[in-house]
Amino acid sequence: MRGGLRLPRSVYPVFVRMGQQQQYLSGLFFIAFGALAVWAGRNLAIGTAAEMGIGYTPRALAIGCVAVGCLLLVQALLSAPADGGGRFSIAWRPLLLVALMVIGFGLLLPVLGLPLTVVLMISAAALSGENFHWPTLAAIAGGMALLSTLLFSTALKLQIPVWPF
Amino acid sequence: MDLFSNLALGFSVALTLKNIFYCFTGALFGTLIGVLPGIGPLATIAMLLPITFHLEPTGALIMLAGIFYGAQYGGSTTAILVNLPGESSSVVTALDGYQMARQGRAGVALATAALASFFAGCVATIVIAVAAPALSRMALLFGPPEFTALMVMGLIAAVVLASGSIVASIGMVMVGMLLGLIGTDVTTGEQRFVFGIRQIYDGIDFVVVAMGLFGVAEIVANLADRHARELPASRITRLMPSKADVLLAAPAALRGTLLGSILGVLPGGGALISSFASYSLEKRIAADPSRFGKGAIEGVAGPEAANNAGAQASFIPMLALGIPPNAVMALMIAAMTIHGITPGPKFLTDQPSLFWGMIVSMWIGNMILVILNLPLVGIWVKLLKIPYAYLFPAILVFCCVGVYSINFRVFDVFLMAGFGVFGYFLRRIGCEPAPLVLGFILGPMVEEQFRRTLLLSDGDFTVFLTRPLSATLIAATAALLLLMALPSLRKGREEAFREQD
Repeated sequence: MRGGLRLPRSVYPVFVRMGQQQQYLSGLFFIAFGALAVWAGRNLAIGTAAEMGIGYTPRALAIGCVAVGCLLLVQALLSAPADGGGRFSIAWRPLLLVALMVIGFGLLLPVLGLPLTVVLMISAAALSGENFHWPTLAAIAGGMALLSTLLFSTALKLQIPVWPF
Repeated sequence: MDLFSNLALGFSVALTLKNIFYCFTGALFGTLIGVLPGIGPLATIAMLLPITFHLEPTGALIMLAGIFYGAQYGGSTTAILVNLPGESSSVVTALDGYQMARQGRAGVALATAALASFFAGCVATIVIAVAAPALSRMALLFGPPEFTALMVMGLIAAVVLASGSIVASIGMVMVGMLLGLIGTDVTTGEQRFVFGIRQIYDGIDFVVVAMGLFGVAEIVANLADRHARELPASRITRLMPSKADVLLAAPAALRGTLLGSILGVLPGGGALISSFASYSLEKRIAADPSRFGKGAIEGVAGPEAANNAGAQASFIPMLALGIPPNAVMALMIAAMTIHGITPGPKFLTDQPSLFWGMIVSMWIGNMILVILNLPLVGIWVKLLKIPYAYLFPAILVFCCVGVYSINFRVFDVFLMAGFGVFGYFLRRIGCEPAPLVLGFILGPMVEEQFRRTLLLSDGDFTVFLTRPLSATLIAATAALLLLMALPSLRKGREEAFREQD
């Protein structure tokens, strides 16, 4: 972005035009998603327009998805590769780490209870590759464990397991 | 006067000590989370939803509304202080707001934003109070074909008025609708796309989808974004704008409010389009347009007023018709449903104290925000100095606990992880997830009305064109799509969203 404005990635796609590579990939995605929906709904009754079965709308939407995908592929074929726009790349480390942290929370919560799970989850943030300071991270882990337990369990009385026993 | 007795009823509900407390807490927590970089209003509301669970419906609604405009306001603070808009609607605020901050006028920029938003909020509250009952009376004329046409128009307008590739956004709407149809069909009781997974027999929870796509995926995107973050100026000295500032800012705020109130009601409208429109307008009518992008105070006052007015005006179609005009309102509908409230034409007549209490509390909430934010700016500055490495695990904990506490099952947490990965992938292939969220909520509603329409017309599709009201709506939708196909207009739309170049 020119003009000195730095956009975080989260608001990025809104302002950057799709690049050719992204058009190809999104085209393929929509076709695959539509095809999956057609396959998964193969046993649903379609019915007629007057007596719609439960498969009627899903089938129409799935076909629509495939059509959108094809249109995007055509656009990709017509656009020049050096046309600027966004490019496709995946930041594997943050993606895997964040997914792992969330799944870890789900797996550990029923076993360890909230405070211990939170401590482990926040410690896992050390793997993010960001600069950090061990004592501060430990303090945050402890603080968040205490705070979340007090807030969610004590104050809001949500039925969350607190201790492993 | 009907309006005054209604507002009096609203005041009697909103001014109880308990409800003022809920409003205050909502605005405070909303700002607190909204200030954090990279978290927009959608993720903020989803994350804070569990703190409203144990409240009675009125208190919960008041708190949710407080969280909503708190988050909206927090986003502007971040945009001004660190040039990092948390969501797209505060992007334009960052243009001139951050330049003002660099010139040592951060305090003035923040005060201008707060006062412009407050003014816009007051006007928008009155607009809601007048327009929502009128619209819901009109909705009584609507039959299934009209509702179908209206929702389709809303979905198309949301795509056209948003930015990014239109074709891909239409695709995202359809993907969202398909995902929304997962679970047990309301009409027949049969199951669709459940793949034998017991936990999704009742459909996927909307909060799980929103939190995955906007909470988790955004954390990944922000972590991947290796920009060195700029630190805010540590000391904010002068808050009050000078007389010259006021003379420039006040008319801009007035114009912004008008724009926002109109654009917010339109299907697909809301904060984003309003703030962009206001910025273009201010730049166009300014005596010296070159000042924009270099700290022009109108560039903060106008869009901030428009943004707030637009955000609040989008409550009108949501409350009166039960049709969300944008993704944030879709989440509000989901939140209201959790508390057993169904917004729509009957909501106003069946639960007047709830409706008017909420309206009045919006006005009180806007006032609380001004009182809250100006003295607390120092705290927000400190919060913005916390490195992301410490911030993101804490945010993630809130997301996880929030999703877990909807149904108290870990399955939802896993599903959120899945939607997080999916959302990140969608962003990387250039598809914006907001239309998906809207499609997800509207999907089952559109299907129900569509099915009913064709059942009544005995399978005759021309029913959409023979009824005058639905024909008008269909014609408007077709016109919108046609307009987008014209190259000159497409260029204009691209320019409108590229104001920052």
